[in-house]
Amino acid sequence: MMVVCTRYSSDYESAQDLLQEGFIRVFQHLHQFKNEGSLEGWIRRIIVNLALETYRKNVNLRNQAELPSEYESEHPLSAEDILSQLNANELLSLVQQLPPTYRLVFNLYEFEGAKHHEIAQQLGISEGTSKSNLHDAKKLLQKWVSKLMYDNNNHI
Amino acid sequence: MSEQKSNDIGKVFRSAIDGLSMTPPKAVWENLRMVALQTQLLRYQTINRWLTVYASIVTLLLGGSIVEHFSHNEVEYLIPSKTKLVYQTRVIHDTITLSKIVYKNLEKPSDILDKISKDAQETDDDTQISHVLHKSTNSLNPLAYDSTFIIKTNHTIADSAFIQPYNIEHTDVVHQATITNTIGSKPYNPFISHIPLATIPYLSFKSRNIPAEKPPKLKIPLKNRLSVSAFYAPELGDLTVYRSTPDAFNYGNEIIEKAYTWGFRASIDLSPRVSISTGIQLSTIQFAGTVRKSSIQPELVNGQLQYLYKTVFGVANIPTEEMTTTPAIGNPISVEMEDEHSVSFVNIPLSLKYNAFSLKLTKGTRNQRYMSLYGIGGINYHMPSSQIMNIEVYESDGHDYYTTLRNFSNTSPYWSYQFGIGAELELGRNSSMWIEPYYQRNINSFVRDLPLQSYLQNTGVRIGLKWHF
Repeated sequence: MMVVCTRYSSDYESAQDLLQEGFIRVFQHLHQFKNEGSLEGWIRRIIVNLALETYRKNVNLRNQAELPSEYESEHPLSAEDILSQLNANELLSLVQQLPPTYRLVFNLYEFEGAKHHEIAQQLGISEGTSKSNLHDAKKLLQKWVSKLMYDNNNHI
Repeated sequence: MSEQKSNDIGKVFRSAIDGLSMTPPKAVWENLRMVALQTQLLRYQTINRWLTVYASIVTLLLGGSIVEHFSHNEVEYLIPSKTKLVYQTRVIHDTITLSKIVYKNLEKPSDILDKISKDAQETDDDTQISHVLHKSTNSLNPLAYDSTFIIKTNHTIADSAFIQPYNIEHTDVVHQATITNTIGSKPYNPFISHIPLATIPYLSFKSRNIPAEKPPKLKIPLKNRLSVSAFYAPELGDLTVYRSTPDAFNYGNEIIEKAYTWGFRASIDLSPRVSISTGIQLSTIQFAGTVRKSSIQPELVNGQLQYLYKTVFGVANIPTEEMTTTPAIGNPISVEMEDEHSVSFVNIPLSLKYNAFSLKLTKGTRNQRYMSLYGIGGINYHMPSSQIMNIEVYESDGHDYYTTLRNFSNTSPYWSYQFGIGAELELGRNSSMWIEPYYQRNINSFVRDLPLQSYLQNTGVRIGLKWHF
């Protein structure tokens, strides 16, 4: 659950807060847990819902990231190259660096398996905006991955 | 190309991060523990608030009945009731023959004669006052006016009807011991034993000249104070589990589906109002699981890997005789809980009962029927007697089988307190039925050496039949 919280947070301290708040809510609503799915999935859903609530409360954080003009990577990257050169923690920290809306859309789509119309409904945005945000989030991640791999190679 | 790369980057992140695990810092769990404790405290406060309300009601009932009891005695003893007119016969003096005694409340001492003369005349035209005991000379109790009036009727036959089978010497104080000796044959009725007029029918009046020596108490044979009951009690149970560590969340999420108790109770009257009871009871609780199917990894117990089924009322070792899977790390099995899931306790209760009121349900003197209202409270000692849990085991190779878990460890005896109120209806001379709503709660947890504590609280209604010896 700590990984889930980290994915939805911008830093480690926020992830800790989210985990704590999430488990407090779990304690408070444990009696409502029914025989539908696993306990882990239920707790995970509570934490994701809490992350969405936090996002909705902090409306001013919904600033869109300014994509740099040269964000398109010039170097084609394969999954094998990325996974061989970067570890999971480095990738997780890149997700944390995404702007809040991009981070939420990326997490909901890639990790929770939500559809664009579901994401749009939960975040109060249009379906097109959800698709656009996901695309931009991936572009940003791709750029940051390229830069990170380039820096690592030069450092070596 | 760009779109393809964009889709791939999502999969790369998913595959890398999904397998990642991170341990949160200890401070988070410590904070969670503190929050959980605060939540428990709030829950305790809520429970205590309701308990206080319930206890206040019971206390008011009991306290009110005690006050009523003593004030009633005082009225009977010092100032006879205005509304009661009692006819009795006594030998007052050698010069006075068997007479009818009338007593009424005296508002003013000076009105004694007029009022009683009037009352007596209204009651029977042929009666006449033959003797009046005047104001008490008891300096300790100046308000105590002798209100005994001896009225002799003019009907010889009627007077003879009042002749008592015993002869009490002339005295202002009628000792209960004397009465007991003379009315020993009167049967003891637990419903009305605390009502003086009903218990001792020939003693309806006492002088306010309090004797120097306290009269001996009325002794009722032990056999007449003994009673036995059989009862059944459906219960609404609530299970409260306090989990002290994250590991405690592996111990199931059972909820109580059904609970009931039946048993036998023996009571002995310590006084006309107070009785003590004990007996034997069997309580059965049927559980339902909020998670019916779960995956279980083998754990090392005494040097052996075993599959353990962890519940909030104990841990059971899943038998491996029919299992094709070898208990080893990485060889999980799935276990599904079936409907049969019960735990039984044998209880030894010890209760005190206070008989608050006795109500006469029928008019007239024949076929009198009484109902008594009472409060009861005490403690119980519960010993686990049996635990049964049917499960279906699914193995990774597709093999599955049913088995019953009976040997649960970590379940321990526990104490509980209970209190309630009740009503008892007299059915016959020796039998009665009673109904008793009650509340019961654990004093200590009924599991031990586990990272959780389990408490039961029940609200039930005992319905029983009682036999008075």
